[in-house]
Amino acid sequence: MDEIRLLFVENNKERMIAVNTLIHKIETPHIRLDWLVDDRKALEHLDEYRHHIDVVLYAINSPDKSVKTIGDICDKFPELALIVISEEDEVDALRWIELGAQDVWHPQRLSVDSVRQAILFSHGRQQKAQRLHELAGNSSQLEQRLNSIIQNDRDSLLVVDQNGMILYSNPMAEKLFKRNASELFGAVFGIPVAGANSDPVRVIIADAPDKNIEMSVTMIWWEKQKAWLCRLRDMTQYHMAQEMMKENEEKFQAIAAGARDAIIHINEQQNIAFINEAVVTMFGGEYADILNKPFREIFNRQHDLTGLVDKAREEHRDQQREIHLIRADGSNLPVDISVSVFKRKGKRQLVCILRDISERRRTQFQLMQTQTELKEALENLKANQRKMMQMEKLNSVKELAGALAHEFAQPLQALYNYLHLIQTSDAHEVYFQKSREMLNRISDLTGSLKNITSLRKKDYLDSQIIDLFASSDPISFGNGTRVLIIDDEQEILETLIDIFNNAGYICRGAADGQDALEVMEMAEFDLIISDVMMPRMSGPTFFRRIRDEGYTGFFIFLTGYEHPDEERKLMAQADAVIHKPVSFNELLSKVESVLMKAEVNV
Amino acid sequence: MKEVELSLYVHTMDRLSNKILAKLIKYCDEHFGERYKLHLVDLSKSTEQSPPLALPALVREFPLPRRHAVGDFTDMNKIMLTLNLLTQ
Repeated sequence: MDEIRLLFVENNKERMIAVNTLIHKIETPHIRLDWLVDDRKALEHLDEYRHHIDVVLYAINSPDKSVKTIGDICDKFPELALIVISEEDEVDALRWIELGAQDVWHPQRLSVDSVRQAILFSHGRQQKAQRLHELAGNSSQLEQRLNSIIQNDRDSLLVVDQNGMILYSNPMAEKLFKRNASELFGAVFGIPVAGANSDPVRVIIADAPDKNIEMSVTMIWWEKQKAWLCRLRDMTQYHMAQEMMKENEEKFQAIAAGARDAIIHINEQQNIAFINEAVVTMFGGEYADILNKPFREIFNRQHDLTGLVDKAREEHRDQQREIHLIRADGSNLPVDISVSVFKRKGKRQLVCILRDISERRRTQFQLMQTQTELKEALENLKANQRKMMQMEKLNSVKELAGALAHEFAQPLQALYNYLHLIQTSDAHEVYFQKSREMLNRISDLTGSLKNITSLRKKDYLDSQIIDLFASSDPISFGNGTRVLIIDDEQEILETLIDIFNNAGYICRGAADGQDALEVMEMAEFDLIISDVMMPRMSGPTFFRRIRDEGYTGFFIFLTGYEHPDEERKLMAQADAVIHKPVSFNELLSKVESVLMKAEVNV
Repeated sequence: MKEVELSLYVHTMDRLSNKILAKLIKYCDEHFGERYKLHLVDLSKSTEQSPPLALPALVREFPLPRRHAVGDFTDMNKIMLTLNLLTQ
């Protein structure tokens, strides 16, 4: 303490000097003294300089007046120490203490030490009182704060004494019990029995039975007695929310369990927070071995999967792709994967959904195979069609060639016959003229052939054309044998008749089977030479007919074509079948051999 | 007059109340034999003038003074200790 500032209020100059002398003798602490005479001025001074004054020294002049001044000082300036100087006796002087003075001095009993001690004591006591006052202010502030907390607590608070009576209730408790504080005070709540480890226990409030209330109990001191602080918390909303959450969770679990896709939830620590049953099916292993384990550790073999998850985390973007998983047996499993990134409680989390597409792949593969097979089949079909078309074309070429051969065969055969006749008969000029006509006709045919450019089968045609240079010396046989020659080609028929007549046969002709029947009604024949293909009645039909009618002579077929089996069988019953092309010498010699055979047989 | 007289107040006779009652009867049979009397007060059916504020509540009617416990009924010993009825 460096200095004590003292205000001395005294109107007696002598007393003032006496006290001043004493105070000046005090060495420590240093005391600075201000002197005022008038009470009113003193109060004004205090008003102005209260923070520069520690102790007020007040001398009583007229007790009645002083009572008011002392009262004013104590009321207005409680932080200042007040010492009263009074000539009254000790008992009377006590009234100044009662009014608020710290000490009372008697002017005749003052010494340096006593004044010093009194000043120090009064000052110290006042300072303490001031501190206490401040503390009291703080404590009331604290009380206000605590009170505000309790008043505004969302829980209902009850203080219950050891007999179960309510000592205090906060506004929330009033609401809960539907009674005001005065009704609750002294009411029996009952001795609260807390759960083990002071866990909250469920209680029912008689006036609000629908509410779900949890009570927790703490032992406290209340007005110097043990008491229970009961905290009643309304958990209705909380339980409802919890039930809803549970229900949602159950729904989610059911959906996840029923899902055929594998679902993996990876939390912010990259641990597996959730998997469904499809994951166990897809990857094998046990449910408990996968859950809550680090994702990388569990799926360390699945590089495609971990790579995509890393990418999603780094880019903070959803990913979707088709990848291959490695099965326990080392084979590949194609899956469609989608990785979704989301934030939960501010932390980045991932969900992977994997769909087994092996079945789809297999179906796709089968589809592709079927497609390929179909394509091949289609191509085969096309090729076959092409072949068939070619064959048809070929057939038509063959037919055309056959027709052409037929066209050529007639004039050629005729020409051949005429040449033979030129050699063997006397009427050279006639046959020469006829040969020229035939040559002209052949020339015409050749001219028209040039127009048919697509004709390729020359060889075939060639084979059908009678070899013009195969002729040899004529053979004379016949001996009046009666011969019937049947051919629908007029030129051939004529030339054949000429040739056979020339060779000594008695020869007649017919245009077809029908015509021949008519001829046979008028004459008999030893030998019949018949073409096969003819209008109205074919060679074989005619043959059967006359056989049936009793013809017993010789019968030779002359043909240039292959015939159906049925016709061939019938033809085989004839004496001979001579195939075109044939030279006349050959023809005559064959006829001769047939006749000779008959003679031998006879 | 029995040596011990108790009243059990419940809001309604639900599963929990039945459980508490069964427990209480079992405890009393074991510890008081025939020396006790138990009243059951179902507040949903009774017209009690001044029912307890909170339930379930067990009241020791006798011996006097009346003593009243509320809260956790899982531990019967604890309740009986609260009501000063714990026997050796």
